[in-house]
Amino acid sequence: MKVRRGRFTWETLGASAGIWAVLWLTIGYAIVATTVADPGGADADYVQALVAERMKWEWVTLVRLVGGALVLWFAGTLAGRLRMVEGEPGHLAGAAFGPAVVWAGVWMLSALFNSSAILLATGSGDHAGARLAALLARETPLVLTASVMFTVLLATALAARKSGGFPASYTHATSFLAIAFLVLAVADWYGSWNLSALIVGLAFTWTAVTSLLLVRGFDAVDSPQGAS
Amino acid sequence: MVRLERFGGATGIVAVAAIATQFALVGSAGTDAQSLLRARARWELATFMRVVGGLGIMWFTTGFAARLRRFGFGPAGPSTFVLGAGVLWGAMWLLSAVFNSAAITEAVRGDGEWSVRWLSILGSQTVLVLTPTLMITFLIATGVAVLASPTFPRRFGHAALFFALVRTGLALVDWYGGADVAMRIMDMTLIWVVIASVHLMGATRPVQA
Repeated sequence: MKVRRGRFTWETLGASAGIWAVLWLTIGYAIVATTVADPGGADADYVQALVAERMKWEWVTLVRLVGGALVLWFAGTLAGRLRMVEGEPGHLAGAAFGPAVVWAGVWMLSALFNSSAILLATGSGDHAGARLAALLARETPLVLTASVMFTVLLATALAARKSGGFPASYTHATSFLAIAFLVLAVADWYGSWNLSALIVGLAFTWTAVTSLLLVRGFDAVDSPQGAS
Repeated sequence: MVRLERFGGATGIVAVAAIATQFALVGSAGTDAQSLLRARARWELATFMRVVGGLGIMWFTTGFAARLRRFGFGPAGPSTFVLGAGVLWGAMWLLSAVFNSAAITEAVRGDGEWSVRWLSILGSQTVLVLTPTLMITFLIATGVAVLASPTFPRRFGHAALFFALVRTGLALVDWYGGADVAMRIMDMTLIWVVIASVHLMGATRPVQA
């Protein structure tokens, strides 16, 4: 009984990790919005601004590391739920888990570049290197989110369509969003529009909604009706 | 399945040996082009060791997560989380090796003082910045899984949670404070991988609680 309760606690916490991840990562972008340092500007200007607001950028590193770890936890719970509805061996669950882990890695990679930018600016006095690292920190999630999340959403939508376990409206929305990610990614890459912020926003929204559904799902399983 | 787990234990020890060797060869800081060229063979070997270490960590994680899943939670349990964190940690060593290798290439090309410094700093930061977060999450999931099922001795689960707590404290000191304790976190991580590997190679049945 104790183990069973621990199990549900773990799974419920894991399910809610998506909401927490989105919250942390959004806080990161909120902090960035208050900064002046622009990696798209001149090297010296960038470093001068970075040094003046160093602690803000240190916080950005921290929230992306924590956000990445929470995405990782959410990925495990999502894959577990998909495997439950799909049954063993859970090919689609595995197909969703892999890229979701990569998405967690994307945020951690962004944190790494951000931390390196601070170190290069303050420790080595390497202005050009610091600006380049900051540019990588900014671009990593913007460039990779669409393709990675397209794969996650496609696998999730296929598993939900095949085996159920999710509301029909969610399944349809996920299928539509998977295609939308592909279209937006191509438009962002080929066209003159800058859609990367929209793509990240949609990915956050989907993660939070999925997380909420997973939490409610585990509650239902834990409840007397679910148990019967 | 048991063979996979034991092989995972063995590769964990190989990985730690490779990672410790590369630290002994080139240290944990970045370098400049002149120093790198003077000790090029060492840097080449360190790159190779990072690749071996990364792949070893991935194998170790696969075996370790398989053991946790076999006796513990269902598919949504912490073993999946352990697998993800371990694979990312292994991938991080491979990425570090890429930065290292690119730094060597730039140094050999000549005319790359700036890029060598930049690449070698990224090579060292990759492992020092990301290890604490990944290992804290790895240890929490391991502790929860071990305490919930008799996969390993319960003291192993308690130790995992204790180490996670200590590492969280050290990581916060490293991030916010003036002390540079990133290498202490790394040392503790490597020791823990060795202990886990020995456990993995040993017991093949659930331990009595």
